[in-house]
Amino acid sequence: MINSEHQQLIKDNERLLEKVARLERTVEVTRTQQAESLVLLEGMSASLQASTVEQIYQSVFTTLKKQTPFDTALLLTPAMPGTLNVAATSNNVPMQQNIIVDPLLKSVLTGPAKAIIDIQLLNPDWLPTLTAPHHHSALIASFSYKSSVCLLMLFDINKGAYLRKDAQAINRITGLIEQTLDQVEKRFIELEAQQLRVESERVQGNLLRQEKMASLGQLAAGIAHEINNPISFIGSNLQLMQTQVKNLYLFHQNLNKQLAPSNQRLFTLMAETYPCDFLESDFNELFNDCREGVERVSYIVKSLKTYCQANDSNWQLNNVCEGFSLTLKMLENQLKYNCVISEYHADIPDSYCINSELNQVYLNLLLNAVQSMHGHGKIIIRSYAKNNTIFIEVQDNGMGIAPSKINRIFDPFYTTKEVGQGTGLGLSISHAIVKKHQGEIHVKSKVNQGSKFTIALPVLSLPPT
Amino acid sequence: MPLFKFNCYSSNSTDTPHALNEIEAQLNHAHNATFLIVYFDVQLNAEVIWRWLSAQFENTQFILSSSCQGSFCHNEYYNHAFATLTVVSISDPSGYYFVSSGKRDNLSTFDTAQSATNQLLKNTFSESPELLWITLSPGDEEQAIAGIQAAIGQRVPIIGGSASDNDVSGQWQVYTHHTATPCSMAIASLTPSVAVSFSFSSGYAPSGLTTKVTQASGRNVATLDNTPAAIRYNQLTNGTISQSLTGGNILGLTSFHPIGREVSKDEYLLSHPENVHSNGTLSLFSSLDEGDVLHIMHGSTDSLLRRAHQVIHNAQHTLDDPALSGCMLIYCAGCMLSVKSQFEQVTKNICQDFNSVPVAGVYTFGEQGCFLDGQSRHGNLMISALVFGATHD
Repeated sequence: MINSEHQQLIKDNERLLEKVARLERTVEVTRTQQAESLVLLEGMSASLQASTVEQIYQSVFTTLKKQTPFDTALLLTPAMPGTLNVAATSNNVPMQQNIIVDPLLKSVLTGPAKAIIDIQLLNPDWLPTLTAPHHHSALIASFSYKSSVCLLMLFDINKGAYLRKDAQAINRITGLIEQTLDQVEKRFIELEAQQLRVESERVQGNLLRQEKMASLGQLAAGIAHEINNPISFIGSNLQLMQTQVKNLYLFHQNLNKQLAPSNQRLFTLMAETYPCDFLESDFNELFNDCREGVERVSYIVKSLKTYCQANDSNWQLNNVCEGFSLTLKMLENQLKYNCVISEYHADIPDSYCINSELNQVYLNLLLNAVQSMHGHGKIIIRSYAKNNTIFIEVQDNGMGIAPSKINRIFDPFYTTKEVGQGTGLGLSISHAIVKKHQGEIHVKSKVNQGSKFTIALPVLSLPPT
Repeated sequence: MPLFKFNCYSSNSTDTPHALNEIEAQLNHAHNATFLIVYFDVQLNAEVIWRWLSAQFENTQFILSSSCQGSFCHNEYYNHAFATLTVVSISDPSGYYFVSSGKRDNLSTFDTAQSATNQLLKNTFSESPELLWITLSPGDEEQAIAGIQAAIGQRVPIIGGSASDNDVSGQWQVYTHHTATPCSMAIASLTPSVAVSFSFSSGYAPSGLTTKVTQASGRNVATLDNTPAAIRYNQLTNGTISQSLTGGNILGLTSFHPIGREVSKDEYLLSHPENVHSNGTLSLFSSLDEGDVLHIMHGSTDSLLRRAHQVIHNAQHTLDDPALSGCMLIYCAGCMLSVKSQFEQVTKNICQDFNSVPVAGVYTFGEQGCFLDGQSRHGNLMISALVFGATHD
């Protein structure tokens, strides 16, 4: 009886052990699946955050390696009919290679993935091109991308590193690659469309601006012409009038001396009634003021005409800072009540440039500097040359730019100004102009301490082609 | 689309032509077989069987191997626990099956196995098979596995059993469709169109007693815990081999007390002590290394009788779909001989749990299989099952 019970206990124990073993296997399988899902999820997430196809490929390789170890992985995309091109490698080594689609590759392109025990035994023509002599195992799978079938190839140094179950599992990974690439493709298309929209708006804005500038140029030329005539005869007349008034005064002085004593009394009486001794000094002052006014009007008209020459695309060997004085003159009214300007200009070599365009850059920088100030501020302008590069700095002690915004200030339509105060194009246009001069524009800024824009222009001995 | 079919046929006749006639009478669509595994009792004439197979299945690859005191065959019509001839027919036009054979000639076991496997890889175009099914001559199975793995790597599961005879007199034989004379080993690559699963385990449990190999060379262990191996083993098993300490065959005495190495959690690879030498050295049917920690295992008739269907269940459990098309069973001949008088219980258990599933079995002198850790090994007193999943339209 006791023996029978003992046997039953052993039997029950065996059953329990068996059950535990099965449960452990189930748990193991579940854990493996969970880990696999996690890896796939992480991989997809990483891929979706990538900003280039190359980054996606590398992300895919990283995910793959966690799931299926390999020594080298390759992604091949269709090239000419009957050939494949190496699009990416796991070790990030560029490989501009085209390989012929042989029966092995064809069978994978049109069928299931293959786990190859020892690729060296098959010795396909592409082997020396794509692998190292120490590679033995291969896992080859296909996936779809942009309506074409691509190949994923994994190589390992050990023989038999990949089993049929790995080939089946890789299909799940290639499924992920397909989905990810699809998602990213959509995102890229969306981004591209967005960029195109921005570009289109920018071009439209530029066209509008060019039209405005052209109109303003015509207007300025017309006004200049209309103003120049009266101003020139006002100037000439003033000069004539000053000479005539001087003669009149001389006449007045000499008349008193030439009169007979009996008439001199009458002259003195009239001089007391109509005093004109002060005329000489007052007239001189009045004429000088008028002449200065006429010169200023002429200068402003000339500046306006020069500034609005938007079609001046002729490159000329000139001083790139020549336009600063002109620009400062243009801004005189805005500057004189708000800030103090300090200029430090060293000798700089002449360089091929379009002064009218650089003037626009200086204008934008100075306007931004002025607008960044509350009350009185200080603007320092420096120019100097070093290592065949001309540096132009515009530094202010204004409110500065927030670190979160500083990377975007050269973006089109990005503005930190209040609505209606800025178009967001000034700095992007300035950036484009500096680029056109093969230069760079950088900014350093500290909030509430001010900003410094530095333009670095190479000394151009020839106009850029 | 042609479907996977697994069938097994057997005869109990000790007359070779008669046995073959009986088999022929049962064959239905087996002529369309893709791959055959045939087991025979050495009472039958292997050459006659080989010629018959070659004629009947002209373009079919096969492995022909001897099995200790018969083979197992359960199908919808009968159960033969000790059939003199069993033919397993796999018809699978969508699967891939290749057989290669190795003859030692002047080569080592390692080189023979490596060469045979390389030959196989040429047939598969180096594609990884689902598993390798091997039939080896007993004696140097570890080296054979090493040779196979040198060619195919360590991850492809290797499942099989060593050929056997009826009385350990060395009459075991292995043939393939390539070889009209016996060869040293047959290696088949199996890539069925249905899911497969396998289980490799023993019907033994650890007793809690352990010992350490302190001096050994291959399959001969000189000392355990620095004591002559036979004496130490005898101490640990309460005098199981007291009567043979001066030398002699101990296979029958040690069947219920093998030694085991824990290869993964609760999984033990068994070694069967077979002989005591006059110097106290213990010989086994598998190799041990110095430093190995050995567990004294214990088994019982009941546990061995229950083991076969349990192993099939274990294999079945890892399939996504538990429906089976067929099963190959490898049962250690040592275990079978220990419980032979009650073996009908094994048949009964299999019939009860797998009535509609054809099950064919072989009794072997060494078992090769793959544990849960993915490593394929050679062991003794092991039982394993290879199950084929159901086809789906």
